Amino acid sequence: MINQSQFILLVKITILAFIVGAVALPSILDIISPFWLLLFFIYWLIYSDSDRIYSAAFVLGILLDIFQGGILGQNALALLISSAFILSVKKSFFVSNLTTQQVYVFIASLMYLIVFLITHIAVQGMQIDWLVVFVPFTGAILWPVVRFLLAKLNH
Amino acid sequence: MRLFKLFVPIFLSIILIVLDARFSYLDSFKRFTLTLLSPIYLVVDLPSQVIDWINDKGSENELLVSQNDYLEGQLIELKAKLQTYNNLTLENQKLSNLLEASYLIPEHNVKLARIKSISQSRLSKKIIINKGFNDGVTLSDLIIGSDGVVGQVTEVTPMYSTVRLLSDPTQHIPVKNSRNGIRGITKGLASIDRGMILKYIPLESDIKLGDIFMTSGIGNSYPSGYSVGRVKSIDENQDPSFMTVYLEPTQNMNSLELVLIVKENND
Repeated sequence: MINQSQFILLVKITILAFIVGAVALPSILDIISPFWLLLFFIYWLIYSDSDRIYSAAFVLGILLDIFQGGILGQNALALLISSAFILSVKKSFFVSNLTTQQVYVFIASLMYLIVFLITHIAVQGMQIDWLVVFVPFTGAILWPVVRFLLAKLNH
Repeated sequence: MRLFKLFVPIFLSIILIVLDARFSYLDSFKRFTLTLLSPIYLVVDLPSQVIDWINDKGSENELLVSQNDYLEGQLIELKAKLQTYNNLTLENQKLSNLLEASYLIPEHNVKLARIKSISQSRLSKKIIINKGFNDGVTLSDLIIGSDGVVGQVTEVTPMYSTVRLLSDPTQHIPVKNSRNGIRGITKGLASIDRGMILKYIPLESDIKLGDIFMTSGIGNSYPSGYSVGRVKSIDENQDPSFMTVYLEPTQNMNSLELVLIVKENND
């Protein structure tokens, strides 16, 4: 079950993640910008005691795939695997300092990127801009900002 | 139990990836969901719309603003038409030299659209325009700017359409050299250079730097006669039998605000 307040927060961060992800950026920034939905979802995940986390990750991933016009299931699969990692370190994540949290976010973003690229290469071939490897770094760097802003939104 | 809860959605995701990559069963579901999500475009575009609105209100003469918009649209439309006519003139001259043939000038319907400042997935190159199927836009319509082809409509919602740029790695366009008619198929490059590549051109082909390639109309996917790219470099070392030609789009995508949706006139 997802209780009402957690559900409302999930809806808020989903809409926000979609809006932030849709803002136009210069080409390079666009490629290296973090996986916004993952960052926002991590925030929800660490404060959530729901047992429907994987279902939520699946639905949000599918919505993102449709919104971005990508391969259906690509973001869903990546978000599920990254969420599984964050869940496995959830207790540690919750009590860690910001730097350790950034390391966890980096690893989750890296896992997301690997799954994302594998599915992309399997379906569309080796058509990749290699700047995309910087995405986990930008995700980790921007995590404190995202956490601060979402905490404000939550309260 | 927890592993089961994880593996069921993972399994579903993999099935969806395969289904989406191989078949088109899910297209109507995707279109319906995208229509539900399309208000997000409105929210993202709101700041620029507010700025436009304030600018318009601040103007002393609204008539001038609307006339300016109208003339801007007319100018871009005429420049686009001119591309076709220039190419047709060349084509006509060549044909006339060979035989007394007449050339049918293609009739295309065009519709003006504005680009919304929205970028999409990081590994694909797409833009959103403010016209959807309520305005008669359909899948595969060609999108052009004042200087050449921009891309092709890949998704349509009631109010917006997604256009895949010609420099997207999954975009293929049949083209021909405007100077001598050598044909090929362009493919977008994944780098940020926004270029295209033309492969499998026989080594002895007469292609020079600066040559313009335009849509050939083969396969009826695209109307013919619109500029696609200019030859930037030629590589004869990649393959012993073929040359690889690198093109830069004739249309500068960075300064683009208005585009035209081109449809074949079937009347």
